[in-house]
Amino acid sequence: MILQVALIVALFCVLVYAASQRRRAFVPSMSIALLSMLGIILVLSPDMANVIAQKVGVGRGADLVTYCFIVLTLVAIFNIHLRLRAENDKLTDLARAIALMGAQNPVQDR
Amino acid sequence: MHDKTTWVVVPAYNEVAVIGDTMVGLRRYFQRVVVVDDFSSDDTASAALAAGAYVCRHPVNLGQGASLQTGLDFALAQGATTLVTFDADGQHRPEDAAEMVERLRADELDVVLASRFLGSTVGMTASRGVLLRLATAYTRITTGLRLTDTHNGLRVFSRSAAEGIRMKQNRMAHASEILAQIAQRNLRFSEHPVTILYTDYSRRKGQRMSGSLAILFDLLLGRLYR
Repeated sequence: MILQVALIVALFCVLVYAASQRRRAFVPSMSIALLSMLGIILVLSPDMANVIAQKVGVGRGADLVTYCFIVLTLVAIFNIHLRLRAENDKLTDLARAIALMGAQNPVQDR
Repeated sequence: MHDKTTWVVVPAYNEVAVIGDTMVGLRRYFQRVVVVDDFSSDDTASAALAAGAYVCRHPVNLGQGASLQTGLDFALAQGATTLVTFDADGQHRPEDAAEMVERLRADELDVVLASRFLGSTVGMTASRGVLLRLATAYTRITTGLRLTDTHNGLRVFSRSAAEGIRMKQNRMAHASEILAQIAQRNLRFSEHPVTILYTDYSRRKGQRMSGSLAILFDLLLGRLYR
């Protein structure tokens, strides 16, 4: 019971945060939000996990939950990767501003 | 000799051995050259200054695409009306660049691109030729531009064409990015035959096969996150 509560709280926090990021990266954040919702449903009703698992051709409910978690983690990592690229863009703009501010004239000027 | 509103942009990384000679060649035709030193570990910047170039130094190494963008920004701020991009390593001939500037003006174009396959090459290896033709095919498919040489660093832009160039690809994928922007903006362009001179020096520094995969990856991911 207490584990269920902890999981639901944690998943809910992830859901809210993911939804808040929808403007910055729609696909990754919405994917995570969706998976979090699915996670909450499955925690609330473990039997449903088994039902769904059988329907999609996975052995047990627990396996299905594990697979979902793996996918969620991979998406999260991918999102971090994309964020790093965006940070790199900012770094470039900053370095460029420094380069332009420190421009030097040639030794012999015409 | 071209006037003071025609600027040549030369991105450079550790080219102290050749930048002097490159500058001598350029100064025969151009009065205004800016070398963008991409945080070289050698004295490229001082050598360029001594040879008569304006110099911008990146505080960290960013890549050739980023260096080109910095150089274009600098030249535009100086009031450039025509902008030339030119390699530091001696592969390009300044006379070709001068001709391309005249071509841009005479034909009232926005961009003139250099083609070694319309012109000639000296000392190009067979594998380099194959790699370039593959890259050309890829770029023709993705941009729709019918070009014979899509990875030539020698280009001439009008001021308005250059103002619209915004390279996000810092490293080697910038070449494809420039072409994609030319296609998107429907710029008037033409290819001009040039001679590319391969020396032991430039071959050693040249593009490796693995670099092409990295370029592809850069371009695909670049579309995903804005």
